[in-house]
Amino acid sequence: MKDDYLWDKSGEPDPEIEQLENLLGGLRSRRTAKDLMPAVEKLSRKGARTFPKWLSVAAAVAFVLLALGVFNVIQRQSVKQFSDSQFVMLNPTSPEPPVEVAAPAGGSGETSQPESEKPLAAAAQNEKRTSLETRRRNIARKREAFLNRQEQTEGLMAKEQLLKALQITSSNLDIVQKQVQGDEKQGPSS
Amino acid sequence: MKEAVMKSLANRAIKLALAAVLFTLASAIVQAQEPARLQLTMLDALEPRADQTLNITMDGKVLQLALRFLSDKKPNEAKIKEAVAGIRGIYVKRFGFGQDNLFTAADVEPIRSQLRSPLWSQLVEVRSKKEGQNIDVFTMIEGGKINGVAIIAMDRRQVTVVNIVGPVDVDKLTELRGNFGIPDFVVNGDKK
Repeated sequence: MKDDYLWDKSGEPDPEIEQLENLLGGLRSRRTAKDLMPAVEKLSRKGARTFPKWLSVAAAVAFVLLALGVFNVIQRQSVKQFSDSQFVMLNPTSPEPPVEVAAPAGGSGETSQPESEKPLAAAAQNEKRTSLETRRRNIARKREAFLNRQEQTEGLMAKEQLLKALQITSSNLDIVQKQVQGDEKQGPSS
Repeated sequence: MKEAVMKSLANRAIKLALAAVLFTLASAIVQAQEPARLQLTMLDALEPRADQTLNITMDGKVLQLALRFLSDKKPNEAKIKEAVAGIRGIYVKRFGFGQDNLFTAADVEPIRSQLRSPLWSQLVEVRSKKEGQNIDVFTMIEGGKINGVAIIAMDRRQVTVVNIVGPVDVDKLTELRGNFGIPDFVVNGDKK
């Protein structure tokens, strides 16, 4: 067999292989096959390394669980990002203005106010706080409204699907029922 | 050297086989949790030939969401709610074809083979030569109650497979006919 000659030089010589041998023979390693054996054995040991079966199964199970976990996290994040982005679009308000803190009474006098202006400043501060709270409440309400709308859209789609599915089911069952009833009526006469 | 390569190849083959076994096992576990759930994905081969495809997948969560949008005050919707109560999943695949004979019974064989399991029993078989209509209704009975329904309906231009998972009252489902107000599935302008 020509393959044997290529493999271990036994069998019928292959002229093409011989030609290649003559061409490339000058470049061959001076080391004998015996010298190379330790390296070959090391390689074959590495190639033939086997894992216990339970380890393969455990690794596969771990991989599946990991993939499921990653999928779950990605899905949750995408839903959150979607709802957040919609929320931002619904509320294109400017950032909150910083809340001014009133200077302590009887301080160093750098920002001291006359006594008569103090109640006015406190009132203005209260007003600001109230408006901030109102704005926050409005944002929360809009967010809730958006989530409700989203849920409503999904719910209506689910309802439509359910109705279609039930329509198909009941129409087929109806045909069957009519056919069975028809057969029963025909039965005694035939 | 040759042996080492062979061993390495064999190792890889074993690993691949193990992965396949694991995948099959996972599917089996999923199916064991819901024995009435059929694998309908095998019908997807019909999709390229079909003019119209309808695919409805409603698991428990989606069903519950849909039920929240059905009113108890409207008689029709209340009936639907009653009929669907307890059902854990509804799965429908429907293919409409523009011409006759674009599919054969062999296309639905993967579904029928699942229904040959001892858990399923055939309830009704309707064969109408005139209209070329075949309808088979299968039920899965557990503990004396219907815990799943499968319908295979075929005519010359349409294939429909319905799989309902959970306790089903077939009579109540049949009574729902005409309560929906949704136009029927149309193939080439012909109403079914």
